[in-house]
Amino acid sequence: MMKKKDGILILIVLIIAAIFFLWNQKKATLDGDIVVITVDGKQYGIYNLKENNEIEINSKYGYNKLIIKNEEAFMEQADCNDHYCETMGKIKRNGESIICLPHKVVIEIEAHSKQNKNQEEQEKETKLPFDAVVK
Amino acid sequence: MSKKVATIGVLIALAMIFSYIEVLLPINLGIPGAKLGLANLVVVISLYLLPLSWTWMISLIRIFLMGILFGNGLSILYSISGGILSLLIMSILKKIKGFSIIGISISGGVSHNMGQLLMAVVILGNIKISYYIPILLIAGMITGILIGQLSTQIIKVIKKVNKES
Repeated sequence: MMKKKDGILILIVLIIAAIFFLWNQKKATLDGDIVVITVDGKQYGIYNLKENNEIEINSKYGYNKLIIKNEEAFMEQADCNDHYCETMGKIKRNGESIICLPHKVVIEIEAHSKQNKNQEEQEKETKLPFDAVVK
Repeated sequence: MSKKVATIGVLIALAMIFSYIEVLLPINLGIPGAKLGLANLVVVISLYLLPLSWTWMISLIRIFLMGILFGNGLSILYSISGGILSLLIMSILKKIKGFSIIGISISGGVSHNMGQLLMAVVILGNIKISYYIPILLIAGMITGILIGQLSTQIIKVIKKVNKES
């Protein structure tokens, strides 16, 4: 039988999951526009999500083929054992990623380079007209 | 001593068969790579019926042997980080008391996934895979509930048989 502390545990796990989920959702409200490829923690390349492209990722760990098509990125091929990355589907929103664990490859979608984002935020802040009303 | 070796050996073999079944017939949970973790059934049950040190041996030797037979160096690292963290958390919560077998099993399932994610952050050198935290938490909880429910039933039967004999 379930006990009271079990319920508390389940609740805590659900709350933590919900917090991270909302955090992901907040990031995902932005449409991504660049694809960042990282191999073994080092940046391999940055590509435009708006341009159709086929990218071959060769490293000492193995080979992956990433397709960018119709503003979506997906892993078409990998020469690893598990092929999980091929089943991870298509990504297009900010913060989404495809990961190939055996080859240490991480594909991420980002909205803008960080610099652009900061500039945009600054512009928004300066443009906000109701600043004075709030104060 | 010989009873200890025999018990641990048989249970490692059982856990390995459970792992092997999942290699042969992956149960699709809707998440790429997510598994039910049938081998954890053996770990949870032995946590309740056997000394803690035996459980550690069963869990670690099982992971090591499965890694050598079917995996590679990397997959051992992932499994071992999940295995160590989950057994650690489960044994601590069991000492605290007030949790049922299902609760302990949930904590094991969740911490197993978090341990693997932590190892992935270290190996990939990329903190952004924290994107998968919510889905891994929920998946760990669901597998934990299933394994916990199964364990409860099996422990009941084993205790009954032990009393009768």
